[in-house]
Amino acid sequence: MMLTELSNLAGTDSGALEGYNFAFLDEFTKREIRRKILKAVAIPGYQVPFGSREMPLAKGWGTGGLQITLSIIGKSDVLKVIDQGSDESVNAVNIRNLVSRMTGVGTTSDTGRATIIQTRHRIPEEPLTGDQIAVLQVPFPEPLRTIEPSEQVTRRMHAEHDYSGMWLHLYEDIVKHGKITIGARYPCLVNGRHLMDPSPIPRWDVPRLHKSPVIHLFCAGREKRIYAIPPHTAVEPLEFEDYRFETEDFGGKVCERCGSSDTFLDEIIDDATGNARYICSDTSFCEKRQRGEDV
Amino acid sequence: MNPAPALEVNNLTKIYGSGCRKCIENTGPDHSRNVCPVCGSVVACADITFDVMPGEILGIVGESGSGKSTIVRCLHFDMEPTGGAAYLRCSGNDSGNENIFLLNSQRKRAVRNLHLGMVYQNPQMGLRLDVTAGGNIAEKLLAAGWQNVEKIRDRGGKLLKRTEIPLERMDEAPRNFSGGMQQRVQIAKALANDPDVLLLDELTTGLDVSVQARILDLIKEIRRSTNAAMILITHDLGVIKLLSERTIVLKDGRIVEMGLTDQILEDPQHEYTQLLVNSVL
Amino acid sequence: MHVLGGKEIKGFEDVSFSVKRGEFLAIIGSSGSGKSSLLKCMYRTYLADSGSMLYRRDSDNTIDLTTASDHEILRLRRNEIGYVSQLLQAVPRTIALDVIAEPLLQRGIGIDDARDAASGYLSRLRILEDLWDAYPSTFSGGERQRVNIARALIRAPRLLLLDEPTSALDPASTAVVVEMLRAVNHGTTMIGIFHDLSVVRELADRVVVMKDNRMVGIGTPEEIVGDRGD
Repeated sequence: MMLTELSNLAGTDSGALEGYNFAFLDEFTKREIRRKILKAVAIPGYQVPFGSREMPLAKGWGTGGLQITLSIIGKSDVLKVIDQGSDESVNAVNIRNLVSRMTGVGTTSDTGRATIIQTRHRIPEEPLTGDQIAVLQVPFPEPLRTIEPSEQVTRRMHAEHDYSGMWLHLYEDIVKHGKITIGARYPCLVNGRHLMDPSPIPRWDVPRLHKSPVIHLFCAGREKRIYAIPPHTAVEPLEFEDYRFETEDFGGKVCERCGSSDTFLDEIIDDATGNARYICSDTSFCEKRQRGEDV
Repeated sequence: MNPAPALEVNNLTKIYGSGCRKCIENTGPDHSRNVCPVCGSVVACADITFDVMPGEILGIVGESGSGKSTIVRCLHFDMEPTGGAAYLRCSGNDSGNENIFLLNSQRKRAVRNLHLGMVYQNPQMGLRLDVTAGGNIAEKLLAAGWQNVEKIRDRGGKLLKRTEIPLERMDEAPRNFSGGMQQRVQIAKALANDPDVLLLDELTTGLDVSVQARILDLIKEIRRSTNAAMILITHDLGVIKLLSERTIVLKDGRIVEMGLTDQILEDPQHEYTQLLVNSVL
Repeated sequence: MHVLGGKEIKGFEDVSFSVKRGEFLAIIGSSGSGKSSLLKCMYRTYLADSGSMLYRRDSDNTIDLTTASDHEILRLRRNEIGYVSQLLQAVPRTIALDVIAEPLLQRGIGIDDARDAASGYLSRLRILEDLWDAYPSTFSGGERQRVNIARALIRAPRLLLLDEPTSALDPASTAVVVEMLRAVNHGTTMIGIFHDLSVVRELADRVVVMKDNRMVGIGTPEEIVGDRGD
């Protein structure tokens, strides 16, 4: 009874593949994941364990993000999937195709048009708005794992707001290297309370999480954890008074395609010449700039 | 007019095992055992009551297994006592009138980081041997909310200088240090936040005599220059004689005698203390 | 200040006397007569089995030294009651200057001021300045005992207990010590055990005689010692 009702709500008559429930997951699974998302939103940055399902995708290839997307997507949504800023990587294309076939919803590479953006390792350059949802794939949800192997202990550390071990890790980094060397996965304090792994986004993207109008949902399928940054929530990278958090510096390089100097650039070494070339990591944004659109 | 004790401990009891009603009455120095014959539980210590004044060194002596370490481990929240209470009455401690054993774990951690310092017999327990010496001190400061690397290093350097660790070894891991040096790093770490109570558990046991002497001198210097109350656990009456003004003698988990150190050594009242004193002198 | 009725210790029994503020009381008697036990009970190194020892403070309140808490005794030792043993208890690895300065440091006086005061005592004691930063364990018996007494006097105690302070000294050193004790200001009450009757004659206002663990007499030096030789 319940199942039928929920199915009807979601709808299955819109071009989705026959023989499957809308959005692949059964309704009970979606409900479990939605509940866990609610809990994650209620406790910003806290990792909520959930019953991660087997997906038609290898673990570690975005099964967490996929489960979130499939649980929240509705018929009127428009989906964008990127992998390290690119809509056209194999992984992004396959996830996009899978969701599209299982729901019949439209897809786009245009950041501005998408209602749900599932992403791996990047946040789009184009500023997101409050009516969009960002879904981030997460390989390692536990920011404290680098300093503490035991899950029991890291949970206690979160519960007691005991992050001196992570601060010590940063201190030692500074002592040994003269600066903090963490690149991606820079630990951030969310809402002044929980330390969070922002997923392997570059430091470049970290400040854009701070007080963002967008809801960011994080999910690690293999590690079975969901966490979230609700809109307008403080996200502060750990930093010392005299050793500040810094984003990547490209030394004045510009994108050789669109000429941007204010975007995160990929360095590509030309095999033939050995020279480095720089292009925008966010391909959709880069194309918009090339077309002269105002972004 | 009389200063208040920095630490008050009332009826501290620690029992390993299920425990039964007969545990306490069936163990202790009168029975020469600490294992309850009824239920087999180990009464590590029971009915331990004492206080320590600011600036005072209280010695606790007793042979291995007498429950000395259990007392300081309970006070440092390394283990949970079975019963009893402890009150830390020092300035800046908002839980001065609360039994610290009943605080939640987050507040216990705050008490430990801000008001207590601990030096273990085994440096491995008090130090992260693969983190730099400066980092080990920094950990305590970071836990107390220090956010400035330069200030942390300045404080760490001063503490290391005070404990006679060459400054150039500040950024080296204590794993490479000698036992005596490791112990001095532990002391520097314990002093990081100017603790109100310093717990010293057999801090010179197993060290060469000359190394021992330097560490004991360091403790004397700390007594002079701080107002920390210290609890000094040792089985070495020589250490007690040198450092502590008052002494507790422990046997089978109970206090058999408590008094001025010179009285304990020269006019011991309990049979066991007499044996202990005569074995040494 | 009164010391009343110590009882039933193997060391001594039924000892009752009182000492006035500023008075110098000598205790004499043969070895094993219980003199030292009596003195150690006053300092609480020994615990008395019965009786009381009433110590009157400046504030006029009276403390029973046999029953006062350990904390109270420690406070008295730090501020009011000093003890000089037969020999300096060696303080390892501490130079003479700091051995004497230590009681002041314990009271929270800065190291420079404490050392200043200590060096004053050392010069008055005629200890060569070369020795000030040497370890007292290397000193002669006489020098060591002078350090010992200076260490007690630097606290300016109200009550000073002296346990045979001159017994190990040669005549010259004894003379220095006697001179020191005579110079102590009159606010300090002293109770001292002496063997040397000439010292007793020189220092004491009154004398207690112990024999076989009992007190057998009390009086002025003239009454007790007369002009007996040593």
